[in-house]
Amino acid sequence: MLVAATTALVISACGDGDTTSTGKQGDPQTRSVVHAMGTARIAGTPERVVVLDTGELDSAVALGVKPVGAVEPIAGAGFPAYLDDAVKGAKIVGTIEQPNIEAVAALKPDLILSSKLRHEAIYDQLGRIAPTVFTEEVGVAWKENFALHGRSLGKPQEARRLQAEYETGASKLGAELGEKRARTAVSVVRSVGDEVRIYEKANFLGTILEDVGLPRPQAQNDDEFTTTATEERIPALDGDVMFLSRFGDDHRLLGRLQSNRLWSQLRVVRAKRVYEVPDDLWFLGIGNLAARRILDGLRTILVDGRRLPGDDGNPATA
Amino acid sequence: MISGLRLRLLPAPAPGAARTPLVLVTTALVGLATFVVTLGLGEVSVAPADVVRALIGQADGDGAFVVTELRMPRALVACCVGAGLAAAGVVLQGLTRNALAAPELVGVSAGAHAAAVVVIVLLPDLPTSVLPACAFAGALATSGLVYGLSWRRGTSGSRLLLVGIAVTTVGYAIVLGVISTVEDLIHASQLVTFMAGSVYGRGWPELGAVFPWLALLLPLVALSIRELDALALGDPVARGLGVRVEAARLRLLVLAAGLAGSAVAVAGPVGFVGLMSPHIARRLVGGAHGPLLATSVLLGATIMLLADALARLAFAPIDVPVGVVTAVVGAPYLLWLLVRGRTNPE
Amino acid sequence: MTAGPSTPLGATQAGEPVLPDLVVVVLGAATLAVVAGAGLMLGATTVPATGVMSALTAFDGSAQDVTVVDVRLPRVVVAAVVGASLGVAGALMQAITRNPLAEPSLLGVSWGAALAAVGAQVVAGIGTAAALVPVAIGGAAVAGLVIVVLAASGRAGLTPERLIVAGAAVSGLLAALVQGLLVLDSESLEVARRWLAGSLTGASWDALVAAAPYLLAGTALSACLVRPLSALALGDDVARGLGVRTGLVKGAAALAVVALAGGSVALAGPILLVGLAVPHAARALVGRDLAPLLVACAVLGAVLLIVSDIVARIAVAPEELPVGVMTALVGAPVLLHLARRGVTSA
Repeated sequence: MLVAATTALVISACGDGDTTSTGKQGDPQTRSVVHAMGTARIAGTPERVVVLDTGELDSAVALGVKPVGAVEPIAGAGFPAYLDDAVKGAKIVGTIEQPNIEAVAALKPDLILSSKLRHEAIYDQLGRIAPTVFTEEVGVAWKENFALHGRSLGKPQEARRLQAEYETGASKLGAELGEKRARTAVSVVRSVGDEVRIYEKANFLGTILEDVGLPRPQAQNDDEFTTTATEERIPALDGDVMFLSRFGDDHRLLGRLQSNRLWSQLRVVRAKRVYEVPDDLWFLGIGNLAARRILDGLRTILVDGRRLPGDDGNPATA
Repeated sequence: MISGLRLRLLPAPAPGAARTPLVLVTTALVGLATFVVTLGLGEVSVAPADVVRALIGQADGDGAFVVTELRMPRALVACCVGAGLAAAGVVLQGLTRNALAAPELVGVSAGAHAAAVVVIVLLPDLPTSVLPACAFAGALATSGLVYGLSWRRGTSGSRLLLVGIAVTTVGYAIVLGVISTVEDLIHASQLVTFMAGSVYGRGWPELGAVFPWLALLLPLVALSIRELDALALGDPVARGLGVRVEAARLRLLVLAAGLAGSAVAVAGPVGFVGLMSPHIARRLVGGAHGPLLATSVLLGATIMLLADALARLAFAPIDVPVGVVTAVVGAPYLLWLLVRGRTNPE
Repeated sequence: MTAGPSTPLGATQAGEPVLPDLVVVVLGAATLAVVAGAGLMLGATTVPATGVMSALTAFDGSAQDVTVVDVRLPRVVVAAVVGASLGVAGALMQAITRNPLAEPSLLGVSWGAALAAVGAQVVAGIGTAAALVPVAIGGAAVAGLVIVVLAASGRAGLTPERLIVAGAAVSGLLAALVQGLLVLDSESLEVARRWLAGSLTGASWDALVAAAPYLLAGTALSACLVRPLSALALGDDVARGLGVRTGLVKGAAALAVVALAGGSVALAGPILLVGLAVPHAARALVGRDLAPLLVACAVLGAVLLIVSDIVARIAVAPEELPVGVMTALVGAPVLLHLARRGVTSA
């Protein structure tokens, strides 16, 4: 098992500078998990897990592990709503941007999960608290990340099973949609406070849409993460279907975009195919559990032709 | 004689000189006490006695771990930053004979900050230890610029300040422009936090980056104390005392840029420490640069420790950038200075 | 404090303008028209001049027309209005303080408005333009009041130099507080960019209408103050001799600055250094006579901001830079030039 894990992980171990190890040495029950910033020695199945980003949180919950500590996306936001009871009781240890290292230490974890992209600067300190596993990045690499999380949590087979479930679900949905897919270019728009982002292909939702075989409008078809929407770029928001989401408060720019004449001229608006989707699930989740639930949401909208709960068909309301 | 905001820094009269040892010892003790007490505060409370035991390696357990592995490196970085900025403030105020010459008000911090951000964005894999050198270069560029532009046979206080703030504004605009071009939103928002001045997550690598600069430059400043004292008496008198005025000023400017630059490279442009520490120190020990430097450095470190403790604890578990705390505390102090007319000659 | 006007910048020794007034007026108007046209043509997509004309005269609801009329036109108009207001405000501040380096963002007025607006948005969730305008004006007024009170306190009384020092210090404080608020509660970088450097994204007619009364009042007040301010330029004593109530005039000018700067900040954030660069260039073209100077400042400010916004929109398309970054980069060489020429404060 160790050999298989190591060979599989060589691919995901991208960081070359740091070969630090975290965790106890020599214990016959421990296994080595190679990750983006070195090697972690993890004993058995960790039970006190601290996660420092939403993708990690999703992975833990998907694999049946309730973290003892997790961060919130921004101060005061709480955990993503779609997880509700599964994370009740977990301690908030700060925000994604600045986890409170002391709070993490106070929980006496036996595993810490995060990513190099977010928390490279505090890797050393975290590593001194507990075995720490970092993925290289977040978002678009969620599948490899989930596999790494599975290995770290001591549940690699469960992770593989769940991932296979997702893949099957995605192709099944794709097959059900069949030829309709060609006429269902999906536009993805997210309002984050005073900013409106157009999500292109290189992100979590983008990979799911690709797995189902849904095309993207030309303006959203690049291998990019997001681009900013301005009033001049309203035409770039068009498509056959739009998934619209909001994070945070005060969506002034979105309001302005929607009251602009160009918005009401969009094909997708005139066809009344703007669907509001829950932000926490579709954009914050970034993990296997969220992905499988998003597939359900896609089925509801695209196959059953219904709107999701909370979507009253009026894009102007939050 | 140009009126305005010159502070005549005379060597301390005898009473001040006599007070100096007492003040120094007291300040050092206060600093040490602050260090110990703040190391005990946070998510895990540790009694001061246990902190001391942890520091001398005679304690184990979670409290000791938090103290020695998490809080101590951060606190030491904060001390170095405070000491460096305070020393830079002393040098700048001495060299311009102006009470308001602090690194962040005369463009020194801005240059360091802009250089650091440009390097971080263009060369993200550069090790932390190299960053202070880049910031130093930036600080040198802007401080030379501000100094050269505002020196007209003595700096008019308002001109120095205005040119300094204008250069700071431009440096700051450059930083914002660079941040706007950063594609990765995560890195962009980290840079925005850096702008406010923060020691969050700073540990041994950052200490290793800033401490050598301090260790090298503080003694060099100490060696220049006589020149600073002489410059305080005015150029003609200084020359009469055998000081090569222009060379001395240039050297001192380089030292100030190095001290402030290394601090900014590690913590971002933390404001008001470089201004407050020399002022408070002056009121305690007078204007002789020997005692002034020592006291300011100790005060700077202590102020940063207190500010960072506040930053960590005020909205826990959220970590407020320490630069915000120093601004909230320091700026009213500066305004109070103005009200009390302490920026005018006595 | 020396009295009397300094050598006009860039103009002839006798202080006469370089170009005849009429030529300047025509050139100014033409430049404004051309630049505004460019602002309508350029952006994420380039609309040909004919397309712009047809959009303005024969609007037909096509995407191109909507872009020109709904998106770019308000933006160009707001840019012009804000640029003009800041230019005039800068000229007024320089007249009051008799220092060519004085301007709203350097002396705390813009930052006071920005802090109030960010505070209202972040803390109280107030978001509509109509509500933010009075908040920003209030912030500017409070900042201005604090600056004046501080500068007037103490034995030395209110001198232009003390005003500048107080302003610069308050500016540093408020900018730090704005940064702090944004770091603590930022969901997106757009908010940060707008309130740290100024941005014209989302300029709308609603906002303009809300700000219009204050901007108009400020403009009207400035027009009334032309004669007394010209007298003031000869020195306080001379002005008093001519029957000018100096305190009242300065106070009224400050009010005008607050209205103009506060309204501008509400519309576009604290755009940096416009009030610095514009009066300088205007002086070079039309001399120091205040009436033509103010008009020239308005026109030049409008031109500067429109051009800056065009560059901000296309430099890193499809992303946008904050327009304040552009204006700071323009203001920088002006600042250097000014300081190098050694224009002394009066």
